[in-house]
Amino acid sequence: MSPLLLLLACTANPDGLTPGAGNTAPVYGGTFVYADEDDIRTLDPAIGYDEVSWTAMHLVFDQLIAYAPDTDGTEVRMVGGLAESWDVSEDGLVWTFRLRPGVTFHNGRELVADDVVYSWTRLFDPELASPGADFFGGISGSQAMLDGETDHLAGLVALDTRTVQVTLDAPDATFANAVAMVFGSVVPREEVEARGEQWAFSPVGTGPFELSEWQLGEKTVFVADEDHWEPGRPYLDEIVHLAGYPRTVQFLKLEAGELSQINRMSSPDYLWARQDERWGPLLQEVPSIDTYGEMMNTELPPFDDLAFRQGVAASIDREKLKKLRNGRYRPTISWVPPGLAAHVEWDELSADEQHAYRYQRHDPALAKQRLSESRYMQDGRYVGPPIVYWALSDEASLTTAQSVQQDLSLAGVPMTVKTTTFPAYLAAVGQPKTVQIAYTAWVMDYPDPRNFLEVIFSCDMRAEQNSQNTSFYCDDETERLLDAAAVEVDPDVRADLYERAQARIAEAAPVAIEYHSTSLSLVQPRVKGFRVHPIWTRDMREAWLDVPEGRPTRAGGAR
Amino acid sequence: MMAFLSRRMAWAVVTLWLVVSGSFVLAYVMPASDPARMMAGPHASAEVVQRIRTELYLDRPLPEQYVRYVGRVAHGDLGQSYRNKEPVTAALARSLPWTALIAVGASLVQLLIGVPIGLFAALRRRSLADAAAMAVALVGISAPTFLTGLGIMYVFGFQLGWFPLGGLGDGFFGALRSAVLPSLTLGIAGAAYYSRLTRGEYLDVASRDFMRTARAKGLSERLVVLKHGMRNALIPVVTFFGIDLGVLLGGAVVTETIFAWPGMGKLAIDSVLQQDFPVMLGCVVVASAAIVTANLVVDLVYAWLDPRIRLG
Repeated sequence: MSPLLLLLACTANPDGLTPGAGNTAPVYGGTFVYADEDDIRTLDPAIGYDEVSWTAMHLVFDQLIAYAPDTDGTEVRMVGGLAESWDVSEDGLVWTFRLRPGVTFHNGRELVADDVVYSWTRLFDPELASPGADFFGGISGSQAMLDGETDHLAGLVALDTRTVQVTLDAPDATFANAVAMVFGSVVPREEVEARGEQWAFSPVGTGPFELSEWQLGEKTVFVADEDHWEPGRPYLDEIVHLAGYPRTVQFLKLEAGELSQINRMSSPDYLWARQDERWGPLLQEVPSIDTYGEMMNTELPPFDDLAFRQGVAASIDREKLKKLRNGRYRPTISWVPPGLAAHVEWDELSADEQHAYRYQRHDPALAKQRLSESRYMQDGRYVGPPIVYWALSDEASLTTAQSVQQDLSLAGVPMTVKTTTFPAYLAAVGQPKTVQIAYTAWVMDYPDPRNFLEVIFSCDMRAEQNSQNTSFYCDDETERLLDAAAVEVDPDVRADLYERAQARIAEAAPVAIEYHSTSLSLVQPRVKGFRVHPIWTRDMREAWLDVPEGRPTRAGGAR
Repeated sequence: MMAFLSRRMAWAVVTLWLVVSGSFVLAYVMPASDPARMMAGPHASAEVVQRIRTELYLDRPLPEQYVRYVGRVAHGDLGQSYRNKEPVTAALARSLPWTALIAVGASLVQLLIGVPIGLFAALRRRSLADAAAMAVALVGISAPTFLTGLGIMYVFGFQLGWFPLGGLGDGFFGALRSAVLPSLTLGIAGAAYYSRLTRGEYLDVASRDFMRTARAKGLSERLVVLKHGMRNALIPVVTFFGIDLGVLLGGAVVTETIFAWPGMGKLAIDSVLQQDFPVMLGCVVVASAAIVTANLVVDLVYAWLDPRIRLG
């Protein structure tokens, strides 16, 4: 064969576009290939706090508590992961986890309770500066560790090789959620210490796949762990993540059979796929547990004026945004998304209850009235300082920014849009008195109203740098309700407290609440068992390829 | 010649010093960036950030910081990536060969397509073929890279399936095969420009006395065109080629982004998006060095070809 022909013959086609072979039971083997615009940032579960990293870490690591396989956007159930069972004391303060026997790390060593103690203690290492410390901060003694007063957590002990006991400072209904987060992953101390700074790029976990190869900025390869603790090995031999592919190219690669699945599409590609007779039936649209809107800085003019914020919130046409995004948005008045306690729908509220949420709907007359009552408007003209709206450069953010700019212009409020990169955006909105108004989104860390309300609107979440509360809103009564809800264990009382807190926030309008989004997924016909997951985005643990020849598992037995 | 060489090299050093100083201002002086905070991570305590600040000498007077920085760069130490703590030189060493591969490929496209088309158009001056070639060249120059890149990928990668849809192929032949479309994308605008340049230069040379003399001596038209005409017409093309090669070695951000090509351009844009300042500055320094070196080489070649330049 001539060199040229040899060159052209080197074609990679991981799973192709051809229909499945018709297997009804899962078969073993094959490679699942997916791509993102970004690379995985880190595979250290104590550090990673972004969607791409979490998806990959879900392959490599396990947590004591896991989300049930049938978890979707509307129902989230928790089951035992590395823990075969757990108990909570009557006062809600002491959690006791019983570990599953026979679990091994990828290096072959058996998991013991001390590994859990090490992994969770590590989150409070001041040098590591883990974002996970916030979620495990209820464990007794955590503050002393963060302050560098001690090197161990008083409230975290291994009772024996298979039992871990956690003591909290106060009851916390969301502690199980924290344990199920990627920050709750269990890691082997000897590997972390031996690998030092390279640990984040060569991790060892207990998950169904282990890292085989990582070419930074290019691709990461995960191979099935033949000895995974769940019965049998994963169906797939290999999962490959490709980094740096624009959405348009991802779509071409899917069509050419070079990718197994995509979850980001440009609007033209989405519209094309939806009406295409081959791809249309394969398109999944799953409600996401998230909320989008505009954060308004309550410390900066003109948004330090309540009437002005309320007027701006009421000016925004949510239905227009839905049309601009091809119907993929669900307009809302509720910062807490559907499926979670404290979510509200306008039509289900009484007239009295609707009163608090009236600014979170498009109402031009009400907007005009509230704006005219603001000290920054005179005779229908805006007289405040120039308004700069911070947006990201992606399609969704820009579309929203331009639509809001148009709505505010109609209300007599001029505004310019500034686009920036995500890290620069995060740094700016997280600093006090820096950004007036910004495109904002909150995608849940775990499915609970606390993660939407306390994290974003609590006075305690304001900071001099990297503030999570980017509107810098602080209200005593809202704070009292959030504090009470955080330690309340009765679900009904808790939901009521969060509903009341949300109503106050909706009326004070530190945020213009706009919509919940929809996750998209387009999969090859032969890909089975893949799920769009509300936490992990892509869940490939149970995926298999419907190919003609399967091969038996080395561990024997089916999963 | 030595005086000329010394003068040019001194200017190259001054240019690189200016670039390094500019990068120091960007990374260490601008208020928007705090290297210690970036290195420690957003959730680090004030104590940890302060300790890193001390370790990096960021609490020292600005002139001292500047001298240390320039000294480190002069010794080839471009610092550590914030993202993965690896030396910046390692990241650059990983990316530069892939950029060099498509830079060489693009240069071949520029020369092998651009020069023949330019000559063809010049020899058929004011014909329909000339107009068509120059119109195509104009489109090639004007079309934005993201458009030509996606178009080339769609036709040759997706419809015809001859080449992969982005990324770096496995093994030697895989890498070569995956480099074809980025090289073509990168080279096509240059080829269009070279065709116009070649045409213009050849038409200029064609009216010179020595061309008439060559024909009067009875040389074949082929010899007149290739030996006398093109030899002279190509001198400016060679100049531009050298400078272009330097620019291409600095990385092609758009092309490498479209094709997910792991070169300098993609490394640069990734470092910008992740605010990984040391890597970003490393890319700037290497790109500048490539351009300065290319300019220097071109100057030397030019001086060798045309002795009058040394006196200038």
